Amino acid sequence: MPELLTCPAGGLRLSTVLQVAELESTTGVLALGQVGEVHLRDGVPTAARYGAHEGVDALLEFFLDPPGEMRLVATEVAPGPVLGNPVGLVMEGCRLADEWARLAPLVLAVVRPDELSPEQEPELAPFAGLMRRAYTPVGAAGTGGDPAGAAHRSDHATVCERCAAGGGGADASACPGRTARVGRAAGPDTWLSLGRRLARAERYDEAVVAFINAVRLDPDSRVAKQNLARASALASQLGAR
Amino acid sequence: MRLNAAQRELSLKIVYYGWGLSGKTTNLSHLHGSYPEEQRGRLLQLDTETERTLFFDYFPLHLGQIGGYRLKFDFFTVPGQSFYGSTRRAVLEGVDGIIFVADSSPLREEANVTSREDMRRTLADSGRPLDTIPHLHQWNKQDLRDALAPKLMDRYLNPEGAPSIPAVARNGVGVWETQSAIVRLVMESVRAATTRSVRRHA
Repeated sequence: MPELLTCPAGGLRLSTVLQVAELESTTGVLALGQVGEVHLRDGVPTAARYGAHEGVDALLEFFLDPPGEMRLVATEVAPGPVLGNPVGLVMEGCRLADEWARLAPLVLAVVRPDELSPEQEPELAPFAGLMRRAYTPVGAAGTGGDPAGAAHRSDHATVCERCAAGGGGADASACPGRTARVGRAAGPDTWLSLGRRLARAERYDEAVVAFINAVRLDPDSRVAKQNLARASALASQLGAR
Repeated sequence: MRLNAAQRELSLKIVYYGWGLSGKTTNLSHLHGSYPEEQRGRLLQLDTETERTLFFDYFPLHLGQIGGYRLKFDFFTVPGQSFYGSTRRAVLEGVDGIIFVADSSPLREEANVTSREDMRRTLADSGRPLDTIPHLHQWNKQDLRDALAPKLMDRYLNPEGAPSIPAVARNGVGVWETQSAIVRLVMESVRAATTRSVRRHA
């Protein structure tokens, strides 16, 4: 099988390779490091695999976690449905990578917001407040600080079982169960689910808090990271208007 | 520029560059809506199938034939916010023509300068300085009460004296002129490159 391209780690970017493949209408398999591959038919991705991920999610994973060596080999690829417009997929991947690069130092490397270095402060300032809210101990007194309270107030009717049953009324701050479900007992999936609901309601600031908690509880969750990156970008876009 | 001999197609990439909310998407949406469906591709703004919101715009447009080859222009915008650096790099890869869209509000002076500097740096880093690529400027939002005059915009954003066009993109003013001008510049560049190549092989 003729090898069309071999690119060492740190060489060409994946976006470049995919754009060239599209322009050249290449058919073949792009092997990405040791972790996965992308099938291309006439330059259009038709399948992707990254560890346990498959399809579009797998392709986007490669942008978040750039592969090592890339090898493009010309070979027959079975006809099948395409993953999407190649230009759109490349741009989507780049966007995710940019958004995640901006947030990663804060979410993953900084243990607490008060440990932000002076260099990190200006760049990450828009999120510092959100992080402080997310890092306030769950169930802390007051209504303005804790994420459980914020989450509870944001989606009161659907999140709080007690309130939904009529025990807490409409006032979330007065609900005795305000931390019971979202706070102490919440796992990453609960935060993720809550974040999605808040994002759908265009309450991006609060969604960011929920997704940060999802990432804290499950640092390996790519889905949580993607959602966090997206929500934070939308939050900052709205803030800029 | 990409010549696909098998499909007999010449593809050219045009990028609308500028700070967030300067009017890049407005330009593209207006253009897209103005062409007949058989001539234009889908305007890629929202991928409803996967519910992923795309944050840039793109559409292909067929503009006739040249030397037996179908002429296809791909129009792109870039995301304006500062931290989308690698995305802008990806969009600028292989670009054939650039339109720098600037907001004429005096409040946007600094943002315009920053964005233009970022564009120059990104292109220089990729080995293709701005002066080697056909480009022009669009001074958008000229209908603002305090809009800076085109001459003033030229003075602070266009020291090289590239073509510039005043516009009010939301009303369609200057949108066509801008597109026609960049297509003309790019085609002149293609002709020059072709002539050089023919002379070399003669």
